[in-house]
Amino acid sequence: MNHKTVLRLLAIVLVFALFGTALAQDPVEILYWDQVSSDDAQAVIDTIVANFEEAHPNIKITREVYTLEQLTDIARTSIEAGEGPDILYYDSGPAYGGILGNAGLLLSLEEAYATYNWDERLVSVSRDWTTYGGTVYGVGHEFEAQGFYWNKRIFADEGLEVPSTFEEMVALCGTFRELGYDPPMAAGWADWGGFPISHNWYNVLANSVPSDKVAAAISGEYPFNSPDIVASLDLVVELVEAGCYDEQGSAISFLDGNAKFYTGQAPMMLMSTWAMQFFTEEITDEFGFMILPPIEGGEQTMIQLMGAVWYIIGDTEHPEETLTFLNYLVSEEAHRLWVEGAKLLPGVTGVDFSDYDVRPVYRDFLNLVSGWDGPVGYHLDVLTPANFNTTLFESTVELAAGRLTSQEVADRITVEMERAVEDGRHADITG
Amino acid sequence: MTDSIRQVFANRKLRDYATGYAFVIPALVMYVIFVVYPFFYTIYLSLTKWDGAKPVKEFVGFLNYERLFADPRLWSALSHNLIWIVLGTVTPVAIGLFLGVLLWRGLRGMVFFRTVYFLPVVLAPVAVGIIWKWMYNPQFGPINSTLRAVGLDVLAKGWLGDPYVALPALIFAGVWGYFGFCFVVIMAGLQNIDMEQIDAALVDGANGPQRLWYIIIPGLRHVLTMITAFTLILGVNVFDIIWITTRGGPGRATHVIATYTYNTAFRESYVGYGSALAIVMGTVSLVVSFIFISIRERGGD
Repeated sequence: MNHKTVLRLLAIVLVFALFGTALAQDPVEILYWDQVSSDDAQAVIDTIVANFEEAHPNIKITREVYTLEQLTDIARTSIEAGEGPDILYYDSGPAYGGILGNAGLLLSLEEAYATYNWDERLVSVSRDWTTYGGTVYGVGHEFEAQGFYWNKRIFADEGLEVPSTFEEMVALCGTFRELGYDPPMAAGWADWGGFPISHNWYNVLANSVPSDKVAAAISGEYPFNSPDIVASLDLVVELVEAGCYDEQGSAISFLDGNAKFYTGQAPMMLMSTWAMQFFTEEITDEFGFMILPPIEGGEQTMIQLMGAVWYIIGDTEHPEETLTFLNYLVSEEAHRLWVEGAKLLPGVTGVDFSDYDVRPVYRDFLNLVSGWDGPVGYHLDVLTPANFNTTLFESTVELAAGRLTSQEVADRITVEMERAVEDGRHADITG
Repeated sequence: MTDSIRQVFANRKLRDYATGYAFVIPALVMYVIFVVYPFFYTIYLSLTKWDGAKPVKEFVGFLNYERLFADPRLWSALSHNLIWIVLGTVTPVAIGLFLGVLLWRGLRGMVFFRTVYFLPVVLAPVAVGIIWKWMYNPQFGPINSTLRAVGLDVLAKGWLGDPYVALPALIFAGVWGYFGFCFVVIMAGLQNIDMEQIDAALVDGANGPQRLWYIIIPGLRHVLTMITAFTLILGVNVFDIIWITTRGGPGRATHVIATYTYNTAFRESYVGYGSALAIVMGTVSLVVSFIFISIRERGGD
């Protein structure tokens, strides 16, 4: 075999090798870091991913599931090290996505909002709650409101009325105790410290202090130790003294606390609507959802927020494919699956859900939201910086335990907000 | 000695050195990469204001250290460390010494007791935390269940949720997980006690406490110094069992300097300030150990 023949053979082998490589080219792989959710939600996202991959055979989604706390621990360092995902399902606000956005670790979605018409298709809080430093980085998914779940059967059996004022709510806590039930506020302290009691305070704050003042406080322009804000913390103390909180709340986990509501041991439970998916899985009794009743001298206010949202990582190698996937996640096709299957409330507008197969509590809530024309309050910890949140959660637990006064709690969080302002870590929501 | 013999000798010495270095260098390289470099880098970070994500680290000199002095959370955490160091050091060493002396003279079933006492030591602190989180569960935990079963309902409580009880409850769990180590090391130390001295003391009429105080404890001097210093360092650096169970809560009731440092650096993203806290923690650990060992050695000699 002379060298010409050898060269020809080599050329043929090369052509086949290149051709074969092209034919066998792997699909683009997108790494998706998701948050742990219910079994139903797991099944839905699996279906959505399968449907998407079927429609887009050139894209493969690899999904890894973490808790919010795990993501808080690893997201930033992993992304910085180039080991992060392409798309991340993480919480909104400066303490979560804001840290990543402000550090330039996320992809700006300004162009994508225009391309995919997301401003029209998504609720306005999707953009509002994921804009950091003037740039939008996220797409909102879980639309939430804060309030109370109540067991309709127990209320009917015991002849109880759903409270229509804050005073009635306070009185109801005593009634529950007299009837041998557990109080409505317990779940999650052991897992999350003062997260739940702080959420309760946000409700009281929204109902007793005008929204513009709360917005100014969040923006560092109005001190948190102002008398009206201190007075709102006093109302939390009033709830504690009225027996609305479980004495062992700090030692009861989220699941154990919720189990009290599932089993009817507690006829009411303070919780945001994100938990509706878990409650519908666990409770056979019919249950309703209500927001905190109005406080005398204030206007009833509903706290609405965007829970977890999707972000695309700034250094993704596949921005186009990842955006295609993200747009599919908020499509109408996916919407029905999210609501019916995962029992979630996506922040997608203009969808007719009249024929959806959901439990009555969903309709109660959707009707409540669609008919709501009152003021909308702020959910603080997605807007306030992490150091503020830590101190708030620690301090409200101590407030409930009687180790701190309202004024001391307010002073502590004021110091943290001043520090955040000094370091430029606060959210300016008044400008 | 001829030059050639001297050369051979020199080469052999060189070869011996080379062999020694060959054994030492890999460990040294690892030490430099994973201990020395991070240590100095942490010092550098402690002089910056950095959120752990931004590409620019702003140099602020000693500002973070100045902040430390006015930080009530640090002092609160340090006070918890101090409590942990005192109770968490004295208790396991005392229990280990008591059990060691009790079983030293060949009590029946010694192997069984030794195994049982040492068993918690083989568990990771994370596992110890999980076990005790369950033990302390206010609704289903065995402690409260037992108390209720014997009519002591009034004592049943949310052990890890009560700000006044949570820290002692965690120290108890920590002691449970650690006293077996002290026990085993003390048992090993007891094997070196001169039995003739004990017998002579017996003949002289020395009672049990006297034999313990004048013969056994001095004989265990080096062992006790080692485990006490080791336990002190653990007390300063304690983290995992607290993080698994209470994360420093309820409120700030169980925050120690390590949990506060982690929280500050990684959850609040104050990496510069968190690094300053880490340096303080390391310094406290070094100083406490140094003082203890110095005092002990001076007293021992």
